[in-house]
Amino acid sequence: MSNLFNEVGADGSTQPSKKPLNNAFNEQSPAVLVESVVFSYVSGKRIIDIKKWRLNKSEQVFLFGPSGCGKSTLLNLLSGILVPQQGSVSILNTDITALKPSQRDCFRAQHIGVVFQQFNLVPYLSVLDNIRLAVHFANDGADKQSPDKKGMTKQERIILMLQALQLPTDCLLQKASELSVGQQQRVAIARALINKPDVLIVDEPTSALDASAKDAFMKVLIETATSSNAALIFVSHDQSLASHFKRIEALTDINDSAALGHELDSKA
Amino acid sequence: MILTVAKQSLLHRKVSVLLTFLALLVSVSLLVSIEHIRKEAKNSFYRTVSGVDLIVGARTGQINLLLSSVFRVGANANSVSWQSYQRIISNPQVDWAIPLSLGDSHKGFAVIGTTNDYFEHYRYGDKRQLGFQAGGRFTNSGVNSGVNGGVNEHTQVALVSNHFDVVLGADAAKQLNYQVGDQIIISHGVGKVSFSHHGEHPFTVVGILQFTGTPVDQGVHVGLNAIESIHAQPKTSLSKNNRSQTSLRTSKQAEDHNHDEHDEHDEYELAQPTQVSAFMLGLKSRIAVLQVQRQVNQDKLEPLSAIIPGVALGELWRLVGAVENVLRIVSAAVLIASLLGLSTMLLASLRERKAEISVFRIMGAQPSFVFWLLQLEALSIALGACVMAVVSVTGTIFLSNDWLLAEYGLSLSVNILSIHTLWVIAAVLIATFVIALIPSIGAYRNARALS
Repeated sequence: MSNLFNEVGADGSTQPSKKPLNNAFNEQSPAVLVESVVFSYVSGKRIIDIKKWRLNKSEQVFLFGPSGCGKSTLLNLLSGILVPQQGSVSILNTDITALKPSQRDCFRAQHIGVVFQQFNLVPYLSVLDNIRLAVHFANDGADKQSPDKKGMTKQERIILMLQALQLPTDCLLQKASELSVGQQQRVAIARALINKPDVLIVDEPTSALDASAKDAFMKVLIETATSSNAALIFVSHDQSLASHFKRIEALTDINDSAALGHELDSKA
Repeated sequence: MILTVAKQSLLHRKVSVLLTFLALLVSVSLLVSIEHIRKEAKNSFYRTVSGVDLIVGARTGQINLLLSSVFRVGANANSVSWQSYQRIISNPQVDWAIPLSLGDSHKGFAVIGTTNDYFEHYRYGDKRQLGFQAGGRFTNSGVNSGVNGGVNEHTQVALVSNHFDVVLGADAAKQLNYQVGDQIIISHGVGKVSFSHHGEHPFTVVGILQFTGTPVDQGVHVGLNAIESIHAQPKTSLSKNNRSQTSLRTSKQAEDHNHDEHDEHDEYELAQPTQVSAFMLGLKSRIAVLQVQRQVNQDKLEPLSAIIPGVALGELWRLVGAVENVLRIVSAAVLIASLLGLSTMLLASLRERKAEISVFRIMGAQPSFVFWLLQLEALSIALGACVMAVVSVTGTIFLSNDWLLAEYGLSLSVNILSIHTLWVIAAVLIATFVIALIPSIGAYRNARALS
């Protein structure tokens, strides 16, 4: 199973059209590089203030942070849904803050996979259509109908991926809303990984799961992320999950304004 | 892909989508059928009379004269004297003339006193002649107007029918259930219930006209002199009531006549006409229309009016047309209301769709995807409603055509897909797009401002 994802991942990373901006990189080139990023909402205090933060390719990091420390905002900045007032966010050496909005959307579709704590799927679409939609958005830009070198159709890949995620294949045609929450989250991983992203961003994916499902989910997530060679950013306030990761960082250490905010809060 | 998403999204909201669809269906059907009926009504209205160059009657308004002579609505109190009629039709420009004597009824159907020229020269629709579904014209009709060259004189007028013949319009025959050969009684007066109901003039049905879709269908046509005879009912005839009802007989002339009434004793002779209510003229050349119209209007001996049917129809339609505009405004208002309902439905679903929109964004959808998704949903509901409306209106017309024809003498074309209907549908779709901008832009903003 993991073999499949190795192949898929290797396959994806050698595809020139997929990563046009990634040619000159050596092994040490970062998957994510955040430099001097400052962000605040329209009328409010600074939420994000990061001097420098870096994540290597295929690296997996556990970002620990209590709620209200700018966690979701950071993830939205990394995925290019929000744009910082200052500084740059580079994914594979592409400064996504410099892209036009439509280019950013396309870049996100092709290079970044995101899994939230819930509502990751369009409820009225079937599992298959949810995953296909992600493929559709990724192909919307430059390379339409990029042929799969393994000769696998998208559907076959989707089925293999679902098997790897221990989902029954007959759930493909079920509506997303008919699945259990645990299944939905695993479909969300499949959806996030189908376009072979370079960065997988996961935000509190287990908060809606019970303890046993949580463990199973984490195992599957780490496995598939590893085999697809994607850099993984895992954000949670649940420190018990940190054991799955080698690199563990507290968000308050990275984000200066989060620390500041906490100080201010405690003073008040 | 966006089509799949839109389809699944609509299926997901079945109930509210269905209700919105039905609201739109009703209003679009209303709009389409009103447009269709309006068009058909206008068509059949203008088709009522054609090929007639002038209608002449006693001095009155042109709509009045048109209503009384063509539509048999109302009656002109004044008549045209026989002399004036003869004088005008002797004009060398006149090709033919149809005298009309109006104001009587038979069981609610207008009785028209006329001559065989009516069946010869009257035209409706695209200059179509009246045809007979059974029987034929009057046997030797009342007055041989014989405008052959306009040289007819009173000598020819003396050619009168010895029969009380009647030719029925299609509707009149159908509703009264008369066949050729039946004998009927015609009374004096317009109402369905006549006060002076004279039983002593049995008329024989000699012909039934084909359906025309014009007021001709409601007509009971009798010879001009037969009308005269009813009016000239002498009191003495009451005493002669012991005669057989089936015998055709004449009436005595109570009024003084210009013509000698030598044959008072001849019971088979009908009266000579003394006047006509109006008459239709066909001219040899259309160029002469205005000239003859002016001559008639300026007639020194008798105050007369001559109208050009097309012009009068146009003026009358403008009056009737106000109703049509009200109908259109009402149906447009209904449409706007249901479009607002559509917009409301989409707006209401917007909050619950916030999560869905954020999923689209996470997957890399541009905000425009969300915008077009909502537009597509709205437009497909509207398009579906339009198609269903056309189908159901066509079906309804198709199924109710016989009934409409029998009940109201309305013949609607089944083909409602005219350029006009297509314009209506295009307008509905454009209006849908505009109205759906409200939720679509809302969704777009949602997608944009997603955090």
